[in-house]
Amino acid sequence: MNRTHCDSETLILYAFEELSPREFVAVKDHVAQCPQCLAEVQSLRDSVSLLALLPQDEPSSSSLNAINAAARRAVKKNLLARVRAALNPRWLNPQPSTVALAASIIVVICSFFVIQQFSGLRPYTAEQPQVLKWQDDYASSLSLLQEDMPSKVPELVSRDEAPQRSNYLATVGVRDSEAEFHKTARELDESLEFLLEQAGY
Amino acid sequence: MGELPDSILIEQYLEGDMKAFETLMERYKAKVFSYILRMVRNRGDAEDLFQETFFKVVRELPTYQEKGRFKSFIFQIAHNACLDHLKRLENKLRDATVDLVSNQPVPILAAVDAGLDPEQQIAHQEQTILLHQAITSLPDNQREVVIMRYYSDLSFKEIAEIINCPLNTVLGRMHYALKKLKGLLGESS
Repeated sequence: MNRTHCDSETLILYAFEELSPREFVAVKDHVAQCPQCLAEVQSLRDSVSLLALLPQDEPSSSSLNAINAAARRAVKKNLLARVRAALNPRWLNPQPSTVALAASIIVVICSFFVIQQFSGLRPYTAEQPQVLKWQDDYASSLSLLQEDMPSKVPELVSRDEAPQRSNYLATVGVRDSEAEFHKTARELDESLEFLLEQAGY
Repeated sequence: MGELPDSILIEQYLEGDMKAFETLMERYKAKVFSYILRMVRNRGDAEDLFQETFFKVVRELPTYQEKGRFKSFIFQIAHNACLDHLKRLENKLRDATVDLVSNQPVPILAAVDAGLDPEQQIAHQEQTILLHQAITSLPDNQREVVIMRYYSDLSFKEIAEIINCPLNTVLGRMHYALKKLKGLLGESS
């Protein structure tokens, strides 16, 4: 709507009473004071009243019968489907896509356990880096002990040669005895086992 | 008993009540058929398209979400069926394979008002035929707006949604159509 006259779209909406109440009042006030817009509205209303002469036509009874028959078949089919659904719950009749998804999940889980079983791998956990560090520490401790206890010690040392052994140990400057070495190694084994148990292995 | 809303009738029909469906049909059959008839201008085609429209309505009702727009839903289907038909007809005419005689429009006569005297009845019939001819002479896009507004009583906004046009375009078409109708009927009288 411009300042002087209403636009044709607004007048159509006014003639068919489709404006909002506020707009309707505004246009009504304008039309009451504007002969040009009033004439336009009158002309539109005359045309609209002409349309009332248009008759309403009835479809043939054969069309109506065909539609009623189709409606009867459709509702019967719909009701049967609902009864079947009630008798066979969905979970007893899963969709093929649901079955495929469940099978895929089972295959993935089984594959995981099979791979783990045959590869000797343990599943990764948050504790794994810590366990690897303990294993490194254990290996370092063993190598330190082995450095301190030369490989020749078992050959040299026997029950009959206890004095030589003591001498040898004194000679090479080893402070730990063979028994202490094994004891320390056993303690380390036990500690490692305990730590692994704590970590859930 | 007051008129049951469409939503209740649809619900009852889906529960197996055919009476509810017949009530729905009674409510819309003449409006939808008249709209289709004036769109395609041929009674035989209109019967086919009317059946096609309601077959589709019946098929889609189980999944249809009623939100007080059933009338709009039916007219949307009827409108699309008419457009498809007119396109097919246009293609046939372009290919010059159509039997033009079988597609001649059927004259449409108004129901006679028993309260009028014979002279008035004749005048009424003449006026109706003139109006029908005037509407037939409108361009397709103006005719569809005029007859959809008249037969469906949908708002211009709903009509704009159905025919997929901006509201102002629909209002413009209505404006030109009404002017033209008045002009044509004024000339004749």
